Amino acid sequence: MRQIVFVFLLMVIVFIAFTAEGLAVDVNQLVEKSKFYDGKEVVFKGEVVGDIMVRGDYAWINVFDGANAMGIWIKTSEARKIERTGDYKNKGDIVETRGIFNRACKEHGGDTDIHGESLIIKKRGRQLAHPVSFLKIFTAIGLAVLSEAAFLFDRHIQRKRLAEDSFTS
Amino acid sequence: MLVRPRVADYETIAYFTGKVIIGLGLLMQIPLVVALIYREWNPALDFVIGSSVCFIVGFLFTSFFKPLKNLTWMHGMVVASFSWLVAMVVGALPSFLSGHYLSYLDAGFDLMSGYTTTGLFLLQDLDHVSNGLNMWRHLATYVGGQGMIVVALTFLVSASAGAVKMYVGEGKDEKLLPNVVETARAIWLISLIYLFVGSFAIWIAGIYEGMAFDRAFLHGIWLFMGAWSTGGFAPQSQNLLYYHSLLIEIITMIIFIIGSFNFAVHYAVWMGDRKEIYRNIELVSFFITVILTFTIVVLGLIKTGIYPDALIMFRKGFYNLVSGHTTTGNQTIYARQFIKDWGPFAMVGITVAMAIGASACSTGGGFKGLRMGIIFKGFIQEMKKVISPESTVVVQKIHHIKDIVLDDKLVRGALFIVLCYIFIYGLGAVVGVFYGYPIPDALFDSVSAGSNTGLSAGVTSAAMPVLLKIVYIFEMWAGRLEFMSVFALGGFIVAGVRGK
Repeated sequence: MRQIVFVFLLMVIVFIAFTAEGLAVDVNQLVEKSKFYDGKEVVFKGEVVGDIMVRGDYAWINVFDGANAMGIWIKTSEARKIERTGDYKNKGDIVETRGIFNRACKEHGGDTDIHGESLIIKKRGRQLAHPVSFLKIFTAIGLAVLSEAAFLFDRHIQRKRLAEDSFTS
Repeated sequence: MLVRPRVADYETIAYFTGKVIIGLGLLMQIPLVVALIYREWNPALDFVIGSSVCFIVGFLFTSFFKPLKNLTWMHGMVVASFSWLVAMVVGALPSFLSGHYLSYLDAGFDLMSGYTTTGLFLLQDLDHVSNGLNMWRHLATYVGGQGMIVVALTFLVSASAGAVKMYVGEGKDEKLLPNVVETARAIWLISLIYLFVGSFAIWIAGIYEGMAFDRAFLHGIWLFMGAWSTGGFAPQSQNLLYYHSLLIEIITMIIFIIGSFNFAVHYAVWMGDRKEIYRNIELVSFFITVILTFTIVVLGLIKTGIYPDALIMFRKGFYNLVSGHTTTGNQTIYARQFIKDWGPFAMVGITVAMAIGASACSTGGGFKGLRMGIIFKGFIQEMKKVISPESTVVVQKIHHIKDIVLDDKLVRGALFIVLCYIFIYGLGAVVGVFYGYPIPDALFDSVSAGSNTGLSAGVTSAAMPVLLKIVYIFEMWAGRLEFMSVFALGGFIVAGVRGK
């Protein structure tokens, strides 16, 4: 009997923890099982990429989970916590948002999105280094010189051909 | 009897291919400048390497090979098809060097997808791509929409009787002006004017929607290039869904609808003939097939009940349907949602729309509205013949810039090209199914590749089999060039091997 009560209590705790935290998901899961997740609270984690598009009291951010990105509609005050967004030169802030998943959002013209209730910065973004290798520099210089030589050679040949043509005609 | 090509034939083809490659090298200066402005040193070096290779190959071709004075149709056709293949190989170099591709084949796939205005891509981590590389991707699709040969004719090749043969070889047969070089320049003029107006509109819309000033500017140019060329490329991985903006959706939709129209229609309207808009057989055909395929999509979406109200269903359904019909490929849903949320019936509508495609002599692909119109009118003509007395002469006319009397040759020609398209759609689908993809998915992506659309149901990815990538490259290339120059290249190779 005591074992049954223990298992039951464990299940209740797991259930409460699960629903309180929402379902941790990625874009692939959301799209593949959109019907299941529609209207449910989910937890979505990833890198903020591109622009923070402020539209009044709310803003759009796009969060990249490593494979795909999802639009998050969140309060502008929450979005202001983001310091860096991802692009070629930057790794964006890693954020975790809890909110309601919409398979086809009625408020936003049928977009598949998440209406975020809160935003936690899990890790600050950073500048990405793109070191340039000497091999690439030398290859570029070498090929540029060769292409200039090819251009001069071609100009010489075309002038010669023009002269020959005018001579024969 | 097959006649083996002479050395002079090879030299002529190599010479003009060299010209096209030089043009490609010149184009690479634009992303190079963008990379330098944004201090993206690695991409800048990639474009120095890429353009230098183009110049070396191009100038060596034009130096060592002397062209014949009079080009034959065979030369023009082979130059068109061969130069697109060479342009894919050398144009992929800066893309590959960026490190965003798993293989050179993937980079080549994306370049061919760009040139042919398809829009499928295998690039990894698009959200972290440099501005230079993004400019190159979109420029490739913008230039490909007008045509590589059109570029070469505009800047590098002098007017000659042979020019028109290369121009036709690229799948364009409309002469807006008597001279083909002037025609090429007119096509560029039309495209550049739209580039300024369209990019400006998207730029302002981007700022209004909350984007940063300079990012909105670049996105404006890129989205315009992707939409106008009916390529469907976008600078972010979510494509149009990234912007969450009705305004940007409306602007891009207007651009890709206009972009899918025949350049001859543009020119006629610009010259004051506004009646052409509702008299032209291609536009009439386009509007009818849009209504029919959209009806199928709506019925499919009602069946699945994915969208909560009619307005939303219209917004999502119409945008993606018209994007498919114009062979653009801009999406406002995730690729897998076609399968998961739209369902098979709506997918039939959008697959048929992609297969039909845009207008002839436009930036778009597919069967083309002109051919659909010709085949439909031909069918009407045959029906009339059957029900009329034997002595009656049934004359059917179509209106395309001018009234044209429909004859058997015209209908046969249209049917032949449509059959070729059906063949390549089937080829890609069969190979896809062979590798284990479900039939609807395989057919959807194959039609998308062959019609140069770019919508995907999820088959197209860097993980797909190498053979399928090659088949899709072939589909994109053959579909864009509308087959004749591809046949010419095939015939030229066979004649080189087996001719006497």
